[in-house]
Amino acid sequence: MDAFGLLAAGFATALTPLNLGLAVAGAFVGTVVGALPGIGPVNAIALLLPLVYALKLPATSALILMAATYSGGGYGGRIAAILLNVPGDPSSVMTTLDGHPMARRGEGARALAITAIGSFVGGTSAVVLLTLAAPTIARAGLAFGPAEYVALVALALAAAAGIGGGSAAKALAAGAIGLLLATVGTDSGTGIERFTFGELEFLDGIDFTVVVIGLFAVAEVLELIERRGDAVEAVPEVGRGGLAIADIVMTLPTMLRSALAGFVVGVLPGAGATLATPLAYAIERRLAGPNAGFGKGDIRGVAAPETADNASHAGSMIPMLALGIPGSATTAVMMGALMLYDITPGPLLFRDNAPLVWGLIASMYLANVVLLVLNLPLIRLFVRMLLVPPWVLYPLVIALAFTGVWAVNNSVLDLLLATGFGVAGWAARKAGMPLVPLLLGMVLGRMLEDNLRRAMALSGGDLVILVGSPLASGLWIACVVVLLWPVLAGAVLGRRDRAEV
Amino acid sequence: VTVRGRTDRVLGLALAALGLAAIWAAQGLEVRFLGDPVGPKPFPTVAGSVLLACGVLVAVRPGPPVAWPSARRLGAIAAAAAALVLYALLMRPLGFVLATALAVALSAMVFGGRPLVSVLFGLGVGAALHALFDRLLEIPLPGGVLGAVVGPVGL
Repeated sequence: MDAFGLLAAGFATALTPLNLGLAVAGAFVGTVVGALPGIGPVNAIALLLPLVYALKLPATSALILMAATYSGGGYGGRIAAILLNVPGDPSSVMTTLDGHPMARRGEGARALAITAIGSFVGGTSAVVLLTLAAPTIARAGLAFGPAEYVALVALALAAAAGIGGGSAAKALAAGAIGLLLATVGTDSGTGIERFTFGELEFLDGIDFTVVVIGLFAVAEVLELIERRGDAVEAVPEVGRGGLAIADIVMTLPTMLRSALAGFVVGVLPGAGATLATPLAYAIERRLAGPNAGFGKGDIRGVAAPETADNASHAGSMIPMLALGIPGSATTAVMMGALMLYDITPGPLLFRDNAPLVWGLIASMYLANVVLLVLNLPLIRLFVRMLLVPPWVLYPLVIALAFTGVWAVNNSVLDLLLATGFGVAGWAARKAGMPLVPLLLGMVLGRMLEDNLRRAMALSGGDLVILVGSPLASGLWIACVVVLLWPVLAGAVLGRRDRAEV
Repeated sequence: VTVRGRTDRVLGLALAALGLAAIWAAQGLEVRFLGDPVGPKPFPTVAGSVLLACGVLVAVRPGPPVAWPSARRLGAIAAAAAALVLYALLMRPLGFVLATALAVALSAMVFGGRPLVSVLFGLGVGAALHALFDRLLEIPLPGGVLGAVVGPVGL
């Protein structure tokens, strides 16, 4: 079947009442959570996980709900960034640069409207690119055997360490901790217990949901307790008036360029929105020239990062679905969720689970339409979310986190674990240790080990099999390049800096 | 108070210690089958070694200093963590509704809620989540003292 036939079948899946309802609900929840200061889409999806299992949703529906929430978070994040100058997550930092000056000039409504349209353009064009790319990905997947898979996972971990910014050693260490967490429990190959400390509850391993809720939701609340009392600006008026057609015409080239930039960066494993928004902003500022008002409230300066942000969200679904390499914390959580359904994202997913993939793609088109509708006429409703007092919001997050963890295994030990991971996650953020590699390690660990052992069984223990095929050795080379990337880039940039001096 | 690199030295040593512990614990795992020449030992050993190496690297070459919050704020974090542990431990004896009400009321006050409103809010959240999860979604939540009094029909 060609892409259009598959896409049509996907729309049939996505338009069932359940899936359509979930897409709308996810879009709404995502926008709300994105708008709430301090709570990003990762937390929303982490807290949704137990609910998804409790409702016994089919895998496709669960994925549709989570993807819509993820997209919604991209739309919602701009609200606090523009009106409060508070970026809800790292990817909305760039939106504050021009968005907040616009809001202070009384052009909040204009900034919110153009970013809603930009988000739609970014999200939708990225899904179009995803649609066109999917059949090719499905064909490429057939070349992957156990050895290639091992190299691919190594590349994923290296990419998270090398491209993610910050200290590569800390990122790799986080990845290693994730791999070790994945080994807890009964070894699938031999049936013996590893790292269970004689605790019966550890026999099935540490539940992914518990780790995610701890590392993100609980850690977030601790962080908020720390910052409690820091002054927050009053919410400015959204302002009257809105968007002129001329605004859209003027920003359309910006949006299309930013959508492409965001999509490409989103596809790179380990990069994601945090890199896409500064890139799109920098491109547009350079193209606009020094006389443009970038940084003082230029409408292109808000359109660019928001468009790129949403395009990168859709783009980041590709490495997660096609390679089994999530590029962001949110896609890592989604992948963990799929694996709890015994669906392994990876090269074979597009062939073996085509209805799931195409249902998801179709639902992403729908979610963007829903989000545009929610975010243009109903924007004032979401702005009001900024007024929810902290004493209502954060206790609710705590209660939801604990209820969610309890729902997994009815276990007090899990609650204590989640608290422990919360404290660890809080401290890790302080110390500049990224958590995405840890999630990657935990999600990929079992598959990595299983494939490694399968490859060794095939070769009779000969390590050469791991680099035996051209594809595998190519992936290993990419792995080394990515790991050494900061060093290489530093050398190149350093030389240029000296030349400029 | 920021001391250049002290955070990274401590972090690095902690990571290295964790790596060593993993390697050491993995050495006790020795089972081999014919079809599985690798066995359960090498994977955690390699992961532990990566952790050990990275930890040493972080400790030897610390990055820029980290600004830790003041002692008062650290105290608040510690108190919050202790409260969460208490919440977990009270879950069974008190039951979901009361334990949640307590945790929510306390944290609402911490975030500036008025005492009476916070207590009412806590009870509301506890009851609402119980209704949603235990009744609607049929995920059993611990009944505790309230469950014993009200019985299986209650709430």
